[in-house]
Amino acid sequence: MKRVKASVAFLIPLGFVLLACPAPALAYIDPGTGSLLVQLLIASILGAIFALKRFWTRLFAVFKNKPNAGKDDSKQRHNDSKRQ
Amino acid sequence: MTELRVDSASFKDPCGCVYRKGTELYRQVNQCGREDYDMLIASGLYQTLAAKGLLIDHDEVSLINQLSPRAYKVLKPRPVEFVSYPYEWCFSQLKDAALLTLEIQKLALDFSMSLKDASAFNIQFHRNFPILIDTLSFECYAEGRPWIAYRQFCGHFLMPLALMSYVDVRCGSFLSLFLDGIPLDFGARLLPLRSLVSPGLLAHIHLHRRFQKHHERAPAVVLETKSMAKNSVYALLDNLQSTISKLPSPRRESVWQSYYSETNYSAEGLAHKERLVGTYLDMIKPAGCVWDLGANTGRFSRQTAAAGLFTVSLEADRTCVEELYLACRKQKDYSILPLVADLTNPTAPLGWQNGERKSLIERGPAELALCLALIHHLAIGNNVPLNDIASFLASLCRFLIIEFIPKEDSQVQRLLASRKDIFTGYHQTTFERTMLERFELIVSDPIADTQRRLYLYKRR
Repeated sequence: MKRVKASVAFLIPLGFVLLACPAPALAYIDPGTGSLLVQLLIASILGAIFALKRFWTRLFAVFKNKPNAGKDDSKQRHNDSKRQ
Repeated sequence: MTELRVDSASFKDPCGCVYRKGTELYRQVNQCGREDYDMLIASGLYQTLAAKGLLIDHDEVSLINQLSPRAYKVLKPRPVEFVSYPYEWCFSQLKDAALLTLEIQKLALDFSMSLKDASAFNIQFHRNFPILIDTLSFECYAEGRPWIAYRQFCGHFLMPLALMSYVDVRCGSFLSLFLDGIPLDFGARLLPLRSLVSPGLLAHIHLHRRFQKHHERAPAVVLETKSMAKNSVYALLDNLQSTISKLPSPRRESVWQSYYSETNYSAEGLAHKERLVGTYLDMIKPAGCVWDLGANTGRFSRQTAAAGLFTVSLEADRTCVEELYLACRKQKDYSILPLVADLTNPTAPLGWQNGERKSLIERGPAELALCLALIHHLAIGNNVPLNDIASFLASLCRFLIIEFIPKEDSQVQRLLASRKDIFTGYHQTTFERTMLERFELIVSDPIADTQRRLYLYKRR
């Protein structure tokens, strides 16, 4: 059920696409027009879900009186990968 | 004047290239790569990645070593023990390389940088861990910019991994046909319907290829008006990570996995063979790399590795390579590099002018090659004359430990069971005479409890 829900989430139309400041997309490899557009769509949906999830986590943390519980973990997620 | 030779694979990125001066390896950063390289160093990203063992470390050296006047910096990267290619990796090796690429891209974003390419050829295995070798793969991250290398990542990593996982582990060989990644339209057609149930594969492969097809002829200029939030790039990378991590390991029974348990070796015979190999190693004390040809699950590779020798274990069966790689990682055995290689069809030179990716033979010769329980597969299983086998082995190594398996052996009898014996020249005396044309014999011994014999040779 969880997977079906997640699959449906990808079919939500372009309303989620965030079109912000223009930025030139030039590279020495060909990024591919279709690949860039699908990336915008997928990443926008995932970004929106990610932001919502973070919002709820923070809100939940406020009620649980844990102000740091919803803190962005992007700086910590690599800490366990240090090599020998 | 020492000759400078540009690496034949180093021509795509205008910001720099790799070359050799004598035997030393250098990387030149051109003036056009100045801003990105300076940011890599000044931001602390290089130090972070190098300290974690994710990016090859280098020393900045004098410009005296430069290749051309366009040089801004000259780097001397630490060389890896053996250069391998994605089509020679098993499923878990490619998966680890993919996860490494995503981990590096996330870290790069933390430091306001981004990977400008995501080629699987930029990853090598060093002490059995994947490591990024292209120091110039980083560019300054422009706020709002999508990940330029997303298409390349999907073709180089996600598509082959999905095919290996859902269709057949041998699909990994497709990477030698498609050097810039497996085309999504080609790969998606081979995937079963159940791949649609995975949200990640649905999005990054099936939806992706629909977009590619639909926008095949769209003008690129439109893209300059598109942008995406950094948070969305992180979310995309997270999703790719989770999609790849959840790919089920390919399960394929292989007759070669149970080779040792089903041979006609008694415990005494096998122990004697190991003792003989140990004695031969002590006699020659090899000073370089060992190639274990037809390594199976690496029983003898472990012996050479235990003797402190870096060993490349070459085996045609992907399931055996997978088993050996996972076992080495688990047991923290970092001296063995297991690779997929079929000796009846050794890795060919590929790419532009057949020079981008080297053949197996070009990456030799090894100091020592082990050719144990293999010759009958080449001579009888593949009809290769003994003379050609000797010539091939002489091109691969300086020292050779080889086992001759006579026709009376049950393994040879099994090969001959359903076919006519046309191998009139396959005898011990012919083998010894043929080998002496290219090698000098150091020592040979019968293996206890078998009709087989072990030889130690040195190339003439």
